[in-house]
Amino acid sequence: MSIGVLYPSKAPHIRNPRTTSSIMREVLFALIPLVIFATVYFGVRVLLVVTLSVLSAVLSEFLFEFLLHRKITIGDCSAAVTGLIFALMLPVTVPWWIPVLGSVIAIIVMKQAFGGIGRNPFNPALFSRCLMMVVFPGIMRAFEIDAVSVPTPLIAMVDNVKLLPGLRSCFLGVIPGSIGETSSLLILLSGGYLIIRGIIDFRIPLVFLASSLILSYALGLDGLYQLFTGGIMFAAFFVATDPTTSPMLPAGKWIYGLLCGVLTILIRKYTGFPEGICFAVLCMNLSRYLLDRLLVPHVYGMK
Amino acid sequence: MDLSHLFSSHSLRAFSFEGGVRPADEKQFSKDHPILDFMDPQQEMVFFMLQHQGEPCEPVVKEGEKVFRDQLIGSPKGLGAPVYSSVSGIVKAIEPRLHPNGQMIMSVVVDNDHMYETLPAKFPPASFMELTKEEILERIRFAGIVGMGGDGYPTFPKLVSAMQKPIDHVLLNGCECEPYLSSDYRVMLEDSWRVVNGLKIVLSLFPEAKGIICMEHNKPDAVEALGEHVQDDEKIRICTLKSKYPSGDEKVLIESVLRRQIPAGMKAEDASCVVLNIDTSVAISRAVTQARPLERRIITIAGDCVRNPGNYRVRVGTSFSELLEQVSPLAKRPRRVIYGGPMMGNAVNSLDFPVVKTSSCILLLSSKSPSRSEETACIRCGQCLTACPVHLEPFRLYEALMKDDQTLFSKLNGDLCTGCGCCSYVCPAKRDLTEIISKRNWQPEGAEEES
Repeated sequence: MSIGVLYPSKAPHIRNPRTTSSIMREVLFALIPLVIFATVYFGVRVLLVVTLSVLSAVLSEFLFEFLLHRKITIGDCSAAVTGLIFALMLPVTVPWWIPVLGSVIAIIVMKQAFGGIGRNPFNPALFSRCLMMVVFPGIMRAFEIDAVSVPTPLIAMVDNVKLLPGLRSCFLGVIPGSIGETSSLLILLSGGYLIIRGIIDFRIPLVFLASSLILSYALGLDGLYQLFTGGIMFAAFFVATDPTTSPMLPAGKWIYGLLCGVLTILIRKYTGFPEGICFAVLCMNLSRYLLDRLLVPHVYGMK
Repeated sequence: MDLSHLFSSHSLRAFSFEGGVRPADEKQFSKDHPILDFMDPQQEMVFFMLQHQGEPCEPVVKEGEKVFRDQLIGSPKGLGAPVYSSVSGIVKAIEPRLHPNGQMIMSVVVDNDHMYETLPAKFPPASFMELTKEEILERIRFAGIVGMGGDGYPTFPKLVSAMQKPIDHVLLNGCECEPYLSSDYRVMLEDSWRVVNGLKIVLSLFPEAKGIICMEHNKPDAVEALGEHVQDDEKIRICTLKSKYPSGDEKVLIESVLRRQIPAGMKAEDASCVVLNIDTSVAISRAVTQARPLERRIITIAGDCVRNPGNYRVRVGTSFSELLEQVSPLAKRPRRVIYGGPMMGNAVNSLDFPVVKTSSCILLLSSKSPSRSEETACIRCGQCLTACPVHLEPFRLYEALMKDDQTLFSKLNGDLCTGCGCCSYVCPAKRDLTEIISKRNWQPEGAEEES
């Protein structure tokens, strides 16, 4: 019986349809509601910041790989995700060159210089945001709504301002803050979607949020208020879950999430920085390798 | 029918293991059709002298000689099992033929005369209860039975060696975890008496052992069919497992059901158990009670290119291309043909090879490759670690091999890879982890590499 030309195939002959680029596309998709909400609440300047950031991330990855004659990997959408997440962590008032500079640093310094996707020790977007915060503290804290400059609740608390927005406004996101970080409700929905789709693991966000909540109360802070203001929610779902910079095994994920939460609250409470997630998650990024090595699984049949 | 007494007390939650994957099972196409007979092949019959793990058999017939059905044509040298003719006719040739693994294997080619003249059985039919252990073993050895789940390890030496060990459990492996395959399921439904009888025969060799029939929990009708035959037997119970790949892997099955592990580099008998495949159990039953050699098996034909997917009872030696031509017209042009299950089988480049004792499935797929996307960089997501049923670190093994770092590979126990394919299946970067890692230790019937 003639059946024509047959192709070779390596076992297993069926594969999970999910690929790196499909994962990244799902993340982009899940972040769209945050962009829409921010555009409505903060104004169309959000779109400018987001577009500049995403474009510079993708373009810098393309140029870097093109000039070094490497395989062009912008198709996996990971650069776009980095650019978008970086933009969502910026205040809407930033001058145009901040998203551009930040994205280029994230991609070139933190990602490509280490060998591209999967090799970066820190989450590129978070690293870049941290750098911007240290180098341009004034710009990164200039939050305003309707052209009136207002402090975010976290900054207000550090500066001992008495008039704070209510918990309900914080949960819904109608408060000053970074573009994508204000609406806890939307972050929960988008993050929940990614968990249900199996794109991110539930362990890190769950234990990240739980530990920061409990520790806040233990230290005499208002736990829910800590959770719904600042970047904890956003970081727990979209930054700390980055596959490359978080532990691989469930046990490691529990510890990683727990320590992320603990460090965040400790930094918020005992240092002059209003926002703790940057340094907390970056520290934990570094511990990823250690956690993976310490918690290696017990191989079947070995004593 | 109330079967609760057959289960162990803790079987309310399904037995399972850590890791594994859940591919779409694709069994719906073939599992509801009764097994069909395809017992009168027209083309020449090809009997490989190597249908088992071990050494090839030596042909004991000559060209031009008349052979009968059930006549010995290949006699084992060293580790092996005898090969019998499944038809009567004239020996047309004794020459090497192409094996699906790409090697040329010495074969006896018989021209079927369609008379099916059968040699009288060497032993009288008997119930195993009337036979001594030695007589039972002799019948199993004579019948040329090998592990029919695919590993092809000769059953006689396996049982003899296990009898030296303190065996406490005999597991009957009804976990057909490979997608598409449904032949074991059909056999459990249609030939349940023989399935159970085969297990009882083996249990009679191990008086201290208990029998456990293991299958995935989504087969309640098979539980019921087999349950009827084990009701009166105190020593046998049925155990259902979560439906997950690779629940039917020997190592994984032992861990899931008995909560113990085979020590690295050892066999199941070293963990005090014997694991038997469903079809092997049927063959044992036929060999002992009817004194029939192994000369037929059940094959699943499936895939999106097949118009009549299903299970077929065929004679060993039948050509696959003839089988396919006769039983099922093609619905689409196949681009890939997989011999064996989709997770662990081999891609072949033609169908011109015969059914052997260990053939389980032929899969005709219309897609050109397993994945639409190319291999990309590892993103360290850790999915391969979570999926590995023996808890290796596939991405590190892969990197060790890419750097040719044998020391690291051995340190990470890379040689314990079972080749199940879970890591490659889940990998979002579509890396060929299994292929690279398992090639280091996996020698299917002495093959170097598939073509």
